[in-house]
Amino acid sequence: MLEAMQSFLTSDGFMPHGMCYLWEPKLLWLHVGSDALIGLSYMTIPPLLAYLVWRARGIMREGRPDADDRGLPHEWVFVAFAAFIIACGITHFISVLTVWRPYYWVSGTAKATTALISFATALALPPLLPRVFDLVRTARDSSRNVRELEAYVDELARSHRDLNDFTRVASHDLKAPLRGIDQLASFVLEDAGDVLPEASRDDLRLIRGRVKRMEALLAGIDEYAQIGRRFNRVCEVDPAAALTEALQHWDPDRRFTLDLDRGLPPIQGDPQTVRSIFTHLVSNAVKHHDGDRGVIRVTGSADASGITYQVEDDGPGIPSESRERVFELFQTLRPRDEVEGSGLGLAFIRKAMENVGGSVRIDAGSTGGTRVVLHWPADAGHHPVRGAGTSIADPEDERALSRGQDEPTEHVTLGG
Amino acid sequence: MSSSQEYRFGSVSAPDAVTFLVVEDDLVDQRAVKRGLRRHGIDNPIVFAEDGKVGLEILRGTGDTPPLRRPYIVLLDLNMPRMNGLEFLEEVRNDPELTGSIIFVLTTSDLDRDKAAAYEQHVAGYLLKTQAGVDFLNVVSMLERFVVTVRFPPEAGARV
Repeated sequence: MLEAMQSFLTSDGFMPHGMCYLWEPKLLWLHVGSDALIGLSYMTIPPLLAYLVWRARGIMREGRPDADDRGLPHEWVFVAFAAFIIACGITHFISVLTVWRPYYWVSGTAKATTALISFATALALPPLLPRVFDLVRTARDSSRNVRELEAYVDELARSHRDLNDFTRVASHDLKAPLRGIDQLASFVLEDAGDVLPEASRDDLRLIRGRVKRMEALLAGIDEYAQIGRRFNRVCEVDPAAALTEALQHWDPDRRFTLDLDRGLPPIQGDPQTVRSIFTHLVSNAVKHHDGDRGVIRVTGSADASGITYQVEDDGPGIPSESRERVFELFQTLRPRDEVEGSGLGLAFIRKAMENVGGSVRIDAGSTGGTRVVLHWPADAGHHPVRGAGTSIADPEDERALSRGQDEPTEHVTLGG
Repeated sequence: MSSSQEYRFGSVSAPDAVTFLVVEDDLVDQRAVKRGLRRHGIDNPIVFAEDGKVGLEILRGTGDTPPLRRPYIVLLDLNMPRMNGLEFLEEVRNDPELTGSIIFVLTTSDLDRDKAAAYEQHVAGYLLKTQAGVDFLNVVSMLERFVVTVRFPPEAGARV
């Protein structure tokens, strides 16, 4: 073994390679310098490959903490390539050595090793080519998909904006003729009220009632379309004030009691939207109540996930099979001639809650009434409002929208 | 009708003969203004124009009629076809013959921007048109008192 080693390292009988260069310094240093530089350069490549594999593994794991650590596809190619490069580098260093020391066996063995590694790598690479082409294709397709997706998103946002603008303009422009109809009906009542039969006077009053209902519908549509359209004004809102105010408006006879939990947590949100949400809940509780007196109980709590409010009444409640349907647009559970309602209140609440990443649902109250559970996520205040501030760009548009701005007020017959 | 008698200012209408020019494109609103004034006992002449252009023609006498007799009060809607209320205001204020006109805006627009623009053109008041209701009653009684109380600029010929 030792002998074999010695004979392997022996230089007896061989001439140093420098002899071939006749020890001509320029030629000798040309070879030595070049071999040394090639060898050094080759040695820098394997660490780079190792870093590349390590970083690529990290990128693949990003955002997927549960991903198994299988490494990159065809990771062995990088290992083989690194070994190949290292072997090549070593042969160049040995070439430098053999200029002065004729270790040609060592040199030959190193070359043979390099040859084997290179050959194996060369054999393994061609079958990989189709896979590489697949990768390129995937990259190309995914970038194309992203572009297509972005185009769809743009298109969707645009048509959504158009629809909202259309809704707002339509609801405003539809108010003007309504006002005309209402005025004409009131003129007829004033001018001919005395001579008209009672039935006709009733019909005229019904006309005015329908106008009022239509105005409420238009106002509801307008409110619904405006969700998230206002500039993202977010501040701390105390719903207690909104609840009290809403009850005063909807329950002028004071048939209802508002039972507010102590220390209701404030809500981060657009004040007008938050107020509208609680106003709709109060008006629903009052309008649909079947008793002479009623209680609206409001509880609220805050935890890490956000803020939860429960608004519960002791009215007739909503049957479980209808608790989802009532959130749809224009859905009412009773004829509008029995209970005036646009069928937009809960739809508004759902859209407004979803717009800030929250939720709303209805379950059975403890007394068989309706309990509405609202949840604002902890980051609701920072949720980007879709399309905020993008709707009204042109002042002319705003002028168009402002037509018939006035909200319906009490109808009083002119001149008695 | 009987109750409206209480509001009648018997001496107001005929001698002063202030003419109302109602620049308004909505026929029902035109009638509402006329009814409001008449039911309030204001019998002054009322002239209608369906947009700003016609309003200007009536004031200048460039249409079929001679220039509108002074004194007059213009009740001006803002949203109208062809020439809207703000454009009309600008024309009137830039016309040396008309610049002193007393103009009330009577509109459904509650936008701050419209109010500011109207007052920049020195309107006498900005009135909101609502339902045939309390507010319109207020508008009419305000106009009535205005006509009684306010002294009007001299006739065009008397100006320096």
